[in-house]
Amino acid sequence: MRQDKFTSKERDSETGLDYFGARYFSAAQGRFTSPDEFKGGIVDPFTGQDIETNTALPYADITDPQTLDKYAYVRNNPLRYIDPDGHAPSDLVYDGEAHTVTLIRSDGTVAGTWPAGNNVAIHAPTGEGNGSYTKGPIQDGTYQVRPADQHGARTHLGGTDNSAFGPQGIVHMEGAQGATGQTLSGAGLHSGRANRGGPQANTAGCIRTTTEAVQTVNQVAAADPVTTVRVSNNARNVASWQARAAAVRAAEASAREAERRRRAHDQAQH
Amino acid sequence: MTKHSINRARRATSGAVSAGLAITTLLFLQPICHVLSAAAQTPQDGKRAPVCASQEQDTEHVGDWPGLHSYYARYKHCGFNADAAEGISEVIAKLVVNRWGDLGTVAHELQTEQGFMRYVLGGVNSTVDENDLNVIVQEVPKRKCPIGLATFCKSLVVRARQSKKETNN
Repeated sequence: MRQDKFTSKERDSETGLDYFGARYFSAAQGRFTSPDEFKGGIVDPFTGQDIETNTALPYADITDPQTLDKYAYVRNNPLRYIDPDGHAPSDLVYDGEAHTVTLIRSDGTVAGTWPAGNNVAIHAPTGEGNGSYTKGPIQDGTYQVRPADQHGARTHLGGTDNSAFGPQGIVHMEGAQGATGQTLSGAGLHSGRANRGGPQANTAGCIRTTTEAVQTVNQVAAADPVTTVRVSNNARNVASWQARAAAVRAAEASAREAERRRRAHDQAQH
Repeated sequence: MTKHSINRARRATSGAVSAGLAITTLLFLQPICHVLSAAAQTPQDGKRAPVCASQEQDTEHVGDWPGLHSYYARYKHCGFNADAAEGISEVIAKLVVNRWGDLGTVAHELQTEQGFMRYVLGGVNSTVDENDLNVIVQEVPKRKCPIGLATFCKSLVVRARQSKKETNN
């Protein structure tokens, strides 16, 4: 006999385990009874065969040890995540080398892969004490998506494809790390600037992609919350930005010093 | 009046003075504490001052130069925010391109607040529409610069030129 229990899953009365589709969960132990054997990749909807199969768990992230435990329930954080089918929560994965963003639904299917970039401007208007510089591109890591029901979860909705953020607004992430090593508040995923290279156009820290990508994320998130953004292979981009930013800062410091000397010289002349 | 009642009256007066001083001090310090706590609760700490929560959405409500200065004054303690920075850059570029004639309304603030001037110059960057950068490079030198803002006007053009170069790299 089965009855609905933890996260509305059926509980087997004989074993006391909850059925999650892919595997059984032991409420007594707080863990799955078998490892997550989802291989990732894309499944042909007509033949059911894997078109592309990965050997590692697509959710696994070396910087997030919780993702490496194949027996854990939602990274041991049940207050934050749910797991509708026994696999990990849905994920957005940005690849800084391939310049793509991939949306993996919570059932493990790939909703799509789209062009994306994390090209970041050097300058931006900042608050006091920040010297008009951005914090650069996002460092590799797994960051939580701002929940859709939180105040200000989506901003800048309703622009055009050529506007700064595009028509679908920003999917925010929390606690992202910038190239400067500091927390990058307000970062996220958005489209826009389609007339200027779209995904490759500069941002103030965000990942820029296509309008179709953000639209799909918003559609999927409406029924199946997208909980994390995983940034991977972005180290080269981060290093390149750091080098350019250092050169710009040095040039500007040198120009300021030259200006200071010129003024001092002018004053001495008078 | 007995010695005892005099002492009691003194204690009462002294208590009232102390209480008054405490209230005055609190009233005086309250705005300072507010500013300090806003400044202290930067995003780097993972905690943001309550006022900063609306920083991202409010970029959409800035429509003129005085509005930009109010936005700056309200959020300058909030630290860097990628969403707000990109949104307000778009606003600043559009103000320079479309509302140049009203720049004089914040001439005093640009002259007296170095932070505000840096903020506006920071808004002309490689995230903004390249058409706007082109207009700034080509048109601003021909436009009348408000009195006292010659350095600012020149810097705007330099910043637009640099941003165009950064965009094309």
